[in-house]
Amino acid sequence: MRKALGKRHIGALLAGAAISMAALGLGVAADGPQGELSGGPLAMRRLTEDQYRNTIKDVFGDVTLGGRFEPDTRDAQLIAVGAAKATVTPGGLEQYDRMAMGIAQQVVDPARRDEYISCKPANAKAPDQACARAFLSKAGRLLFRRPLTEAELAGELQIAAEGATKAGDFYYGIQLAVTALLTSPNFLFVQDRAEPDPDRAGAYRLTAQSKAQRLSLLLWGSSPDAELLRASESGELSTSAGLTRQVDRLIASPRFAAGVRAYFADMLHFDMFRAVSKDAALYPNYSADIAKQAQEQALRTIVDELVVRNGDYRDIFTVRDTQVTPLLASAYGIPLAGKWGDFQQWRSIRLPDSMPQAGVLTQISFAALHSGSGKTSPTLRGKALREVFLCQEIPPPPPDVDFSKFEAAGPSSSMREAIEAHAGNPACAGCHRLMDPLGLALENYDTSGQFRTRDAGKPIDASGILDGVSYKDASGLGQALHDNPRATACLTTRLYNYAIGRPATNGEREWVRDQLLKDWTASGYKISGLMRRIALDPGFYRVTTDKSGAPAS
Amino acid sequence: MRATERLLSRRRVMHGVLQGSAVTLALPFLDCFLDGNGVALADGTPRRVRFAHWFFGNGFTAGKQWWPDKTGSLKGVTLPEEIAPLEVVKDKINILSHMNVLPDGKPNRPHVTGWQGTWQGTVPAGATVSAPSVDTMISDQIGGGTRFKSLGASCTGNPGTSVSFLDGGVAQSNEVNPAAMYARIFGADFTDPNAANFTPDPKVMAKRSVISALKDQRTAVELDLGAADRQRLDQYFTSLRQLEQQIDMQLTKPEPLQACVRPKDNPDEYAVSDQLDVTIRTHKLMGQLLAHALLCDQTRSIRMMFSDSTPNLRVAGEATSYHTWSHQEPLTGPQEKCKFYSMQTTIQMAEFVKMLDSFKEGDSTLLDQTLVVMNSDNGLAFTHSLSNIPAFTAGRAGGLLKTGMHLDLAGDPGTRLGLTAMQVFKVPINKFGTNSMETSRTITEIVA
Repeated sequence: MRKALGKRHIGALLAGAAISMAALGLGVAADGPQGELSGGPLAMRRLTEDQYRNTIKDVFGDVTLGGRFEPDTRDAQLIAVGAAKATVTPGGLEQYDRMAMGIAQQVVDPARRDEYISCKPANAKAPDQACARAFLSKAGRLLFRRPLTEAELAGELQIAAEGATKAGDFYYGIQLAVTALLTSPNFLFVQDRAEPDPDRAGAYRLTAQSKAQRLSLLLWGSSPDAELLRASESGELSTSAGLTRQVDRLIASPRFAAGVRAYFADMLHFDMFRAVSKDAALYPNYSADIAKQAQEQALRTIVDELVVRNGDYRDIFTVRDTQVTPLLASAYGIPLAGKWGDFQQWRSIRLPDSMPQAGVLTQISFAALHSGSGKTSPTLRGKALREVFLCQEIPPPPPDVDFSKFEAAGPSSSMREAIEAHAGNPACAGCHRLMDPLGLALENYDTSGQFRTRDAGKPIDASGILDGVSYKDASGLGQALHDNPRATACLTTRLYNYAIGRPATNGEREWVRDQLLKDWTASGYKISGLMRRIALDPGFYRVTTDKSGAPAS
Repeated sequence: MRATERLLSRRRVMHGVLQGSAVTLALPFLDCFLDGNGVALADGTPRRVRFAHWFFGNGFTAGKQWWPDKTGSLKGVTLPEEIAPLEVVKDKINILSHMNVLPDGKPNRPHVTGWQGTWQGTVPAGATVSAPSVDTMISDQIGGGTRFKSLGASCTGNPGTSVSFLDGGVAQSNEVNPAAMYARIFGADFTDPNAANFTPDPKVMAKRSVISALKDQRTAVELDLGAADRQRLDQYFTSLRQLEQQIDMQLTKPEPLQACVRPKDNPDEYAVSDQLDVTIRTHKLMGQLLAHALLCDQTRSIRMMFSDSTPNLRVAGEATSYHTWSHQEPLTGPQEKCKFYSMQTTIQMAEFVKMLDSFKEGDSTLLDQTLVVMNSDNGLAFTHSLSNIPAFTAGRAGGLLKTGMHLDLAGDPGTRLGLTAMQVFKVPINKFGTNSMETSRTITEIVA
């Protein structure tokens, strides 16, 4: 049994690429009429760290978040999808509570509270139901992504009154009530809700409120603002014109850049940086500041290219326009002309042709994230390239690998020599042939992301072939990815999963493959166009039914 | 899956034990286990037995055998080289050799299947097990009256690495930063049991209303949810109960605890990592904090991940990590690099045991009141072997366990250790594990 499984795995790998069924779109027939987006089951997602942060920033402005977030879980390569399985552990709720108390304390801080609370209590040392109601109904609507029910509001007012009475401070009551809002399952979990679809008898669609939150999470990586909530509550969002107006407003908003950032931070697995460290003796230039700024550089590069310039998605693999700080410039060896401020000041630059770097693959973030602490890992890098940009899942090692057949390369071997030793073992070769050659293309970038030309004293050979296209180095690989149709097909699938917060159904995958990709290709691969196309399709809000005819979940 | 019984009856235990193996009957002991709260023995003697799980990745090396030749008492036995650091504490530990994980033909997912089988009792066909881990079932049993049902630390800086799972297979993350751990346990919310004065804070009293309001939202929020989503919300509300309990404890004058001392200094912030010296530093600081948390009865169950499963421990300035070495040093050689790391691991294991033993608690020590289970993910990392996965226990859990022995489990499922640990803490369970990992056989030789 075990052997058969192993052989089948390897066989599949040797035959070509370990591409998941999902990536190929080899599903069964669509659930809906031919060519239409069929929708899918309802999902309940826990707010991701990014969504939580963005929401707090949008609702309360610049406040500090103390405590730590429970690690997000990843499913189908995305945190946004893993969120549909995540819960809140005791330790996690403790941290949410700590953060909530900290945020609420800043909201009622005497120096700032007038920014948030427009009314004044009649007596600052006692409860004031009218003022509390005015503030909490407004804040509650933004945090729960819908108006509070009367019962919920009554609960909030009760907290405010009790807090004010016990502490002799109206604002302490407000602090507690805000804490309750921020630790509520109504805030922490984003629930899809269904209603009968008036255009399709017996079918369901998302409620206007669920529609609004799906839109804002996709386009802003955050909760709906007051205007979007108004549109959902007035029925405007249920009309085609109203939906278009709101989608266009969200895309035109400065928050759209934050939404695109949130998607790419998730897609690029930047949450994994929390576990990345580099050997200080071997890589003295690497630091926590560099790691933070490297992520920021990648996201700024992408937002600049895809949002500010409204460029072609594929150009992120080749772009030479980027932004750096003095610290990053020094890490890259970029001479800085003119006057600079502190080490965190960002400046837009175009990399000269004399520099080997081009595109996000050659930036510090990718090289450092997918490496060990002490040396590079072509295997990890190759795996990430396949999984992140091409949606090709690499299966875990088969159970029966006999490592005793693996011949370790000598200590003076270059990484390519060591890796080629892997390929000498048939049991390993199947998977590693998919990962290692791609990863070796990045060998000019050491584990800290610094450019080098030699490894173990030997010149680095970064050449290779991707799907029949030869390249000489990492920028060549970037160009090959740029031109590879799998890369754009992958982005449509992944972004669609991100948008719905769960893995797409077979029917949805077919639509993504047959319709969405075609439309996106015709529009020149603009990210805003892709998101808009998804957001305006009525099928994006359809809810499938279970055997009993009720909305599926 | 665990087989939960209402309570172990004498008959049921007798039946289970006799069907298992011909071992010394532990019934007299089982009958005098702790009371329902786990705070006193049946004779009324106050006890706060504690549980600690200490995990290390990569097992041991292929050189000389790590377990002693002789089984039974360790008196007069010289421990093999890789576990020689435990020599100084050998009368306080048990060595359990030849415990296996039996996958029944399911895939051996490297560095995962080993602890899943042992600690969650199941080798899954897929990636995850929808069942709680042993430590959770124990902390559910003994942690009810404490501020934290369980506290976990990961010494390599990675909060995502954990072998502790709640109901439904929900992973519990660990603290990675000692300063954050200090703030969590001994920060502003800590109530010193030995403080001269105790005045409930009205602000904290008011916070009860937050919990009430959140509880009131349950019905509405669960409306129309599918079973899986409802279960996720159930976990939220279970977590809410701990938050409620934490508030209640801040409002109740605690019983004085002579052995409880709030650590004076909040550890400095530093960059945690899997660099060996940094990991050892973190282990020491976390160990001290967790021990103080036990002494101050903030928790009765702690988790310590000394190294991750797939440990990337690395000596400063060296490019290659432990895990990489474990696949590069030939099995036929002495595996010197791997041995270095495995011995560093046993040195820290011994330090942890000694540290718990250094804290006096009445006429005994903290170690005496604790059962520590120390185990790994693989027998032999090179081959990701599921055979002979190393395991140790330390401490006597308030006199409920015997120590100073080496037991050869002769290929039995590793779930026997988890079952025994759970039964020591009176978890109402008489068998544990699924398929070939299912066992009803307590390791009675170590039960007092």
